[in-house]
Amino acid sequence: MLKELKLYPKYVSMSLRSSLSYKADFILQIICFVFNEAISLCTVYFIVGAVPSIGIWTFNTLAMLFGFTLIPKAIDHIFTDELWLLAYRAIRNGELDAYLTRPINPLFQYVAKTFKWDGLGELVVGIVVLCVFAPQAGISWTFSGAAGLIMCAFLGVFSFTGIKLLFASLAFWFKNIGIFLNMVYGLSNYAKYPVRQMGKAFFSIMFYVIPFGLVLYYPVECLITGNNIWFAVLYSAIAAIILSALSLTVWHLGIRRYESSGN
Amino acid sequence: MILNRIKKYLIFVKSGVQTSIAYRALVFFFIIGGLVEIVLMGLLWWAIYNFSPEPEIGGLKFPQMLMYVILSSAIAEWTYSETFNSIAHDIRDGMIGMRLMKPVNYRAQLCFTTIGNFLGKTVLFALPVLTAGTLVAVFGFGLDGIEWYNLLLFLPAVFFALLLEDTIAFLFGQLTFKTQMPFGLNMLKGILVGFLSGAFVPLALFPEWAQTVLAYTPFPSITSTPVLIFLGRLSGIEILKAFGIAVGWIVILNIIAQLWYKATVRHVVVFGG
Repeated sequence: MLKELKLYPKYVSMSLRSSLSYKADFILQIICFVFNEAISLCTVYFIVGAVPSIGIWTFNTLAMLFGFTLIPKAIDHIFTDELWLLAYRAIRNGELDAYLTRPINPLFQYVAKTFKWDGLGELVVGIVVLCVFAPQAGISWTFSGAAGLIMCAFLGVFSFTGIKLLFASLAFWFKNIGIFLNMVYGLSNYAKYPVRQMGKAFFSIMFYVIPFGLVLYYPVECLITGNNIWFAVLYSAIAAIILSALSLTVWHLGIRRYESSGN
Repeated sequence: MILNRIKKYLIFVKSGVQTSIAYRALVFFFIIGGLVEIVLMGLLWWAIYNFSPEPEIGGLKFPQMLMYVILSSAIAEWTYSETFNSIAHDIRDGMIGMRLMKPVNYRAQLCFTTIGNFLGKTVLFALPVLTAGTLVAVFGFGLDGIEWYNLLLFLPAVFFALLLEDTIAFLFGQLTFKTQMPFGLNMLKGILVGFLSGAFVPLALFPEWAQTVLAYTPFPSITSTPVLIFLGRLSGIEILKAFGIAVGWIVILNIIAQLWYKATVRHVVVFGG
């Protein structure tokens, strides 16, 4: 573990140097992500603008929810983007061989390889939007509420990464699982909408099956309705533990049956 | 002479059709990815209609909005052009040099391949998906007001959308000559075109001024116009006007593309040797 911690900054500086080799592209890429989120927020604005409110959800509250959902997503994007390639091609192409021959945890090596600097653009947008709209969402802010929300953002990262690793690891069995992962991960985009108002079936999936609703939507709903946010923290923690354990187990089962496709 | 020139490009149409047949699993992928998206957007709109004081939003009732969602995501897949990816690929692998040596126009070659792809997808993808989608909307949700002439006018509208999409892809492709980030550019193109064409939110929900400005841009012709024609929301004169704008932009953008391309190719010659 200590060895990994010592190595990680080296990986990060490696990623930075490789992304900075094309400076203009690096900046453009960040701008693209920021622009992407700006349009996404505009979409929410136009959709909600069609009606006065959807239950407790007005544009101000939805914009706050939007900002909050971006934070764990961006952090996950920054640290574990390489998992997408695991789902799409790494196993089919036999790219894991090299990691299995070195005396460091192969999952750590694989994930540490990429540090996505462009995710920082998303993170900044998320924090800015959250800070701009949080005072206007009609919430009586307390220290405990704010601390709970930060805890939820932190714990949410584990759910994101857990879900991504869990479905990406299925590639050990099904080779190219990328499209399926894309679909499951895409559900997170809908946690920024009024999940509770979108029907029982969808609500149950988002809370109990693929818990993006539980870790992203529920904390903000708690704050707005005045429920105790520490319940949301508790549920987020449970989801984080279960998903981390499950995804690591599936990864270990998968890597054990991994066979190289040959070089 | 002219016949020979056209014949030359028909080969690309043929290869485009063959490629799309080779990827016939597209329908299956669309069902995994697209259907989930349609159901979720449908649920979101359902929630919004539930809280709406009026039965119509942006002039559309719920069944029409559902059909809007189905049509816009089907059109996006149907008119998707590989042109941008082909250019990015050619540049990355250095194939662009080979392309320039051949006695065919690069732009025309890509465009005819896209048309071929489109024809293949019309049979393998659009017909089954749109038939199923329409049946569900009509019999499951009580969608009405769809006439045969709407469906007939829908086809040229989609074809114009295809040509515009392909030209915009070619224009964005020119940018990949200078940057190394096709992924980011492709994403930017998808978001910009999707948003401004009304694929994410119907344009009727945009502010007045934005609608007025957008009406004179090529974007509505890519999603909004074909969808509204299908739903029977446009009058004869509005359709004529929309078609006129679409054709005008196809011509203008292609002239720009041709000029820009000539300029970038010179750039390639200088640096590529």
